[in-house]
Amino acid sequence: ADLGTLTYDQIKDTGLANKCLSLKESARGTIPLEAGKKYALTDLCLEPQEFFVKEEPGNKRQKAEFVPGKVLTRYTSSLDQVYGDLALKADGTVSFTEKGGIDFQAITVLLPGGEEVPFLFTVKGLVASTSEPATSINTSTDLRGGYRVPSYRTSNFLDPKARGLTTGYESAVAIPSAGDAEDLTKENVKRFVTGQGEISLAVSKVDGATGEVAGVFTAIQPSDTDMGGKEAVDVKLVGQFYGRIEPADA
Amino acid sequence: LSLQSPLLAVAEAEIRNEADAQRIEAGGKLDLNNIGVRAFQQFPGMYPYLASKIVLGGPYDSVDDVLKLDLSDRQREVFEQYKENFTVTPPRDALNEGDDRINNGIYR
Repeated sequence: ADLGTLTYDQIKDTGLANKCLSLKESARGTIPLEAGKKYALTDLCLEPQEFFVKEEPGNKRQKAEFVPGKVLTRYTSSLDQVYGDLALKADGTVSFTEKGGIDFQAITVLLPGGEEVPFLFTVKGLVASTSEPATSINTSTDLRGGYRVPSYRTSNFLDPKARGLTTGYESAVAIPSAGDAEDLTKENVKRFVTGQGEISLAVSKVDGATGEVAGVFTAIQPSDTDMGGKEAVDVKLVGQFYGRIEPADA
Repeated sequence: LSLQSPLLAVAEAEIRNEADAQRIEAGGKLDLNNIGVRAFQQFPGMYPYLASKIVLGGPYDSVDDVLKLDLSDRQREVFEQYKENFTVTPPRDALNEGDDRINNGIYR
């Protein structure tokens, strides 16, 4: 459906607001890029549809593998209005540099065993490039690159014992004798753990007339660490993306 | 502008509170790479315009780097006047991420 023609009431409470725009199957054009010219990728929307969490094996003979999970925050999982620069680099490859937008979303995934895995889905600071030199964006363009995954909680967050990073108590004050217990250090001293994610954007539909592109993305990034209290696990997201390429002014 | 610290490095380093470490390193002065805009309220003439220019214009290698920003003559004058109160330490994720320096959600 064309979201642009719907009213607020038609979208409210339906989950449609979490959907990205899509292109018709017939959109198989190209968007030529000229060296030296500046372009912008705007209104980039990333809608994750499948969620996987890497699970350590139960015994040595098995390998760690991604287990599918069910998303619990299903109306608030898409990134939208993400924008940044798109340019041909000196070596001829196409590169996208993320600058801003609604570029993070706190998501929780439920695993088959009942465990809930929270993580901050984001593309902050993404720099994604093609592996080969290219002169256009077409239906076989692949952009791949890394991005920054900030902590799920920011520094002012207080845990259930009112301990925090920039504020709050330094230990669980209801058990004074355990205030400096070494096995509680990880819980008492909060850390802001920034991780690194990786995403690949596979363009599969291009409308050369409007500059719209759409396709499939796969992202792998670390989960929440509870402010350094536990190990992050890898989360994999697969979904649809949509964006618009336009010449940048200047 | 690189703000990331690899996960592994964090796991192996000694566990410490980054906000406390920053406060010790700043030595009682205000750290231009880590403080929020509201910290500038104590200096008449800095908040909000000059404060936000400074916060968005970072990170800085030295306090005088602020003068390389696009400032008006009056703003330069004000900054020179209060310069002694400032210092710089490396920007920290714990204090910079989440736009915490623009609005950290503490209103008092």
